[in-house]
Amino acid sequence: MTASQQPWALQDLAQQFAEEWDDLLKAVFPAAPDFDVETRGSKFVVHPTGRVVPLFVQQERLASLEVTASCVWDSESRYLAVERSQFTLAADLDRTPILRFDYVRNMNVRPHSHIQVHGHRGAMSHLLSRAAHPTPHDLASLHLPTGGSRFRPCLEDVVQFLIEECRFDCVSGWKAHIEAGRERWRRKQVAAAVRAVPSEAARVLSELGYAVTMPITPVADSTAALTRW
Amino acid sequence: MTHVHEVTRDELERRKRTILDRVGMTYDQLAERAERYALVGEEWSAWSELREIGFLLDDDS
Repeated sequence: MTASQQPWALQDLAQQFAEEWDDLLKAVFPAAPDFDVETRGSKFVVHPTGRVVPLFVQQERLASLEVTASCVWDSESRYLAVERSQFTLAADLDRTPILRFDYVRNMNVRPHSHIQVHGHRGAMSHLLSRAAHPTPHDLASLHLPTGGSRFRPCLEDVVQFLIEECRFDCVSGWKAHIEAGRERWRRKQVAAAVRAVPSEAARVLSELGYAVTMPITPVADSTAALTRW
Repeated sequence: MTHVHEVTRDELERRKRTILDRVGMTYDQLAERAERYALVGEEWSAWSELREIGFLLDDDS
């Protein structure tokens, strides 16, 4: 076990991850709670204290955003990997989800990054019934794909959607925090994409005029990163 | 502010029992309802919390 693989090193990464979400949500939503990091061994679960962020419309609490991430080491035990994350919007009226933005790193039978819409639409139910779908009347049984591990929506995307499209109350100056957080997220995702598919990174850098030297033992492109649903 | 809590197997097992008592179902019953997209209200948050507990309890990965 190297120093970077020690549980405390992973705990530092998980806490930093939680602090980024904590800072973001407090900067954009009124009354956003603190964050908890629960840990056992080398596993971490990150969520707001009380598990949800309250959402208000004109200062009246109407809904909740559940935010949670389960984290482990990545395959090289070098970076924090999100095993599962879930951003769920539910009205306080019935507490049943309306929209779910889910990511499950090892899901194979369904798109591992997906959105589920809890609603009904007659025409879609009709189509699914004709196709002998087992649950044709529930749109939530469909997993709408959102680009896999690298190109999935981040928390900042969901929060901006809630503020700009759903019109939940926000804190003045929220957008700068969203954009800073999104930049942080996308830089990490670009770096992860380069690690997963180095041949494309090298090719594009060469096209841009960078001097790129092939290492003695090149890292193979990840077929899974390129092909998984 | 973030708070780090080290949780034990006993604590997680206790919390799991409390959640299942609250919704009045066994784990398998709740899992079967989740599979059929038949959860309602509080059962959703219960299921979500149970999955997190399962993740922390699982020693294999």
